[in-house]
Amino acid sequence: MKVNWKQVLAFGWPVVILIGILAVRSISGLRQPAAGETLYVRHCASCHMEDGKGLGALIPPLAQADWLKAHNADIACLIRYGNQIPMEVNGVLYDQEMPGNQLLSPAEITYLINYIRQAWGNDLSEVSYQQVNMALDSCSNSEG
Amino acid sequence: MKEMLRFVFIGWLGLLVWGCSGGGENGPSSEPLPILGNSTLTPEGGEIPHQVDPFQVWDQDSNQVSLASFDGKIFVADFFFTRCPSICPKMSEQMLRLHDTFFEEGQVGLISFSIDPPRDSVPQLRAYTDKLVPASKHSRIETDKWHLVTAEAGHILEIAPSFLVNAVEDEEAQGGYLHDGSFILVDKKRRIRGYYDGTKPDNVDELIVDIKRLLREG
Repeated sequence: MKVNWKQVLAFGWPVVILIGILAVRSISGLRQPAAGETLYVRHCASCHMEDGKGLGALIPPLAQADWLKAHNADIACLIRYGNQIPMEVNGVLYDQEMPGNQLLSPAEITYLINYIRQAWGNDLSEVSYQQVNMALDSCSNSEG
Repeated sequence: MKEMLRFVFIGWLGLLVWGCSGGGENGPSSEPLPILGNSTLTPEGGEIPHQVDPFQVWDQDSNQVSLASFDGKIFVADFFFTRCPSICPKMSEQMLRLHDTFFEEGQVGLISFSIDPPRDSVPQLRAYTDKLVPASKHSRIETDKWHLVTAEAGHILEIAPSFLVNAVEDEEAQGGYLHDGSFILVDKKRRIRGYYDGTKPDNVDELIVDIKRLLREG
């Protein structure tokens, strides 16, 4: 049977375009956000917000936070054990308790810290897995 | 043959354009908002629409607040608690957005019910409200516009179902309470006209549109 390609094209061209659109969408959907960002969205963004701005004087910002500049791997202790004492960030006193997260592994905490230190215009140096482990060892002694 | 091909071409093109424009989707309409909840049928064959339960609560300035406080107003309600580590910050952020958007609109009120009265005393609510002020576009949070309220233990958990929300004590939940992030839109007759996810800004965009529609209803 001889195929009349002209007819096939006349009838079928929208299908070709549709396939093209679907292909492009599925390829762009394959881009995975970095591990640090995923962890941030899952564990931190509900309070500190996706844009890192926090909420009023209730929840401190992470974007351009002076506290982050003054600390590095010891941020790990805050992430794991939370914070129960008032702290000052960018001149505002925050005294709302921050819950810790005992389930995050040192590797995950490292990804998180490095995401936070590089996001939203924060241009802070990365910390290493070894540094995070050492920090967690030191604060686990005091937190028991 | 050429006529047939042209016909087919136009036919498909039409289909494509219609499909890409979201085919058949309703745009913002001038239809009234629905009335949500189960209505009660009367023996005479009438229907009483669902209404939210009456309540007696105290706000961040120790004012007693009830449905009468919203006479002649529509209002948006949510259920939260100040120590909630999960969905509440986003809900408060969006409630603040409603406070700022409708700051001048006297017919719109807001009420945030604390589901943790044992720990959310009036002073605690006052402190929480004060801490939100830096995030507001105004220099204050107008108590008469947005009441953050507490009550006798159990009262708020009792009235929550009439707002069609879940709020229960749950030891295993974060913070000790299981609740959802719904914002409930209530009209002047105390009927529920809309239900939105207060943790999602685009849902609250819709709520803002619906508040304006409801205000036009009079």
